[in-house]
Amino acid sequence: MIYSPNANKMPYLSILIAITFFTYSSPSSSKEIYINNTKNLLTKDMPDTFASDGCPENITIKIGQSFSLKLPAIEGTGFLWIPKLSPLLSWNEEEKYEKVKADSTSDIPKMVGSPTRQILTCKGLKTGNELIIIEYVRPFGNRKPEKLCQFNLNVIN
Amino acid sequence: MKNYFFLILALCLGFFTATLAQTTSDPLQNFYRRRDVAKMEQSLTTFGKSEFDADKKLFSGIRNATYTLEPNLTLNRPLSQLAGTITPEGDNSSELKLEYERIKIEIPAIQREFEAKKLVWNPNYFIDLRLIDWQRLLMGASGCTINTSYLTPVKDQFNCGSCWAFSAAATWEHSYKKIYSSAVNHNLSEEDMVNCGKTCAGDDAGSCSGGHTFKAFEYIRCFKVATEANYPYTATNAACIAKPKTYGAFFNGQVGTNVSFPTTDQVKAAVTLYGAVTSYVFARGWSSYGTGVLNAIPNAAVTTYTYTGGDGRTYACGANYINHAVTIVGWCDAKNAWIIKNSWGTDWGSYGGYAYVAYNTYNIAKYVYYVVPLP
Repeated sequence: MIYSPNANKMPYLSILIAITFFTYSSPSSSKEIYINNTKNLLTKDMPDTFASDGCPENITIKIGQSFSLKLPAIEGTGFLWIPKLSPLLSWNEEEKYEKVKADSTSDIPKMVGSPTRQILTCKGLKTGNELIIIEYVRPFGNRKPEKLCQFNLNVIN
Repeated sequence: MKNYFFLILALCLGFFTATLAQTTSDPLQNFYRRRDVAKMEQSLTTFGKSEFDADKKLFSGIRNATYTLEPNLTLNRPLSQLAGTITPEGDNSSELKLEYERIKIEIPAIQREFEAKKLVWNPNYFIDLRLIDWQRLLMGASGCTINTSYLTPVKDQFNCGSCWAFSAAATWEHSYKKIYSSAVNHNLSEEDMVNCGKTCAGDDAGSCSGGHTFKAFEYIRCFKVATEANYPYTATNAACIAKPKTYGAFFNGQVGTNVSFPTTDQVKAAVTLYGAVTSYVFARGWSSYGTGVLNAIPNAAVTTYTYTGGDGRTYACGANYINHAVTIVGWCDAKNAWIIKNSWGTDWGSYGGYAYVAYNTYNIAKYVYYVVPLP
């Protein structure tokens, strides 16, 4: 008999994957705060890269076109804006922030815990429509989102 | 059948060996393994008593190291001679001289208060750190140095930029245990600091939109702060409410200066003397911390990061860029790292909210502050 070390593990692996999938795809509970949906971003005449300050309601982009979202976050709390993956987009994983207001020049050292905006950048990969969800969540612990940003994405040729 | 027996035996031996190896190599891991967080928090309240005995064997080396570090620096000279004989490293500023004069005047009053309360008077707590002989204080320091009897439960600031208040409160709580009694737990109100905090001169200490640990210490020293029970944390900015003020401080100060940052040995000395200090850090990427030593961003690499300013332009993070405050509670030379307490709850990382941060990374131990609580 040929012994395959992974063969017996397969059922367990499948169960683990199923549990993980179920855990993370379950709708998040009660305290969900939605960021304002105020804008429809249509990009026919827009440059290759553009930014939205806040969470838009609808975004239409072309394949290969990039856009950035600036969402309110406090760096130094452990919370991050984390997008749920979509086949229509690729996200830049680098953590980037924008200060909400300039530092006081007289304050040395600078204040810690100041409000910022996290900048998330992504690029259109293939055509289609999808509801995009981005959670403001700690990547550790109970992973309960503190806020949500969701918008309708339309990727065109 | 025989084969199964050997297989099970081998598995047991492997598990036992792995467990043993883990036990001997990593003090934080040793501390938190086999404990669920709730039990750990509960046990922290009784450390120094029976719960601590369970870990005594595991920690014997660390405890010994810590105890040999207990400062035995009772002055054999009058204070008036001390400033002339110990030269603060590269710091002969008039600011230092003024500070020394202030200490000299205040110490007798503090000493009287100690004696009135029948507490053990140790003048070393009230010497400006810049006057201390660092090498002497750290004599015998090696390996990992953390006195777990000074540790207090990890708290959670949630989505509020109040790390400065949490770090200040944690440092006060640890220092109290170090200076007075490791069996006594106090719990300072961060909400009091967030809503009411101000400096002795009346400047705002901070809010959920950021603040400063040294200003929180000033608030504690000049106005005292409420207990957590009296002024519970809500993670929000709100109007200041007058609550009974319970906890105060004799003293607060900075290790090193904003111009001349402290050496690693100076910070170790301060941790040894006071039990803990606050430190600002550049906590980029810390959300994904799992286990081991945080070391991905050496100090020299902080400048390679950028941020967008309030004016929309992109700036390089300066060499001393910081965005968070934590509490340094020990160090581990074997890992080349500080042992820190964060304020992101007990789920952060593998050590119940504590972590290792490598020396000279994330701008840790540059801006460092200490406090001497009132008994």
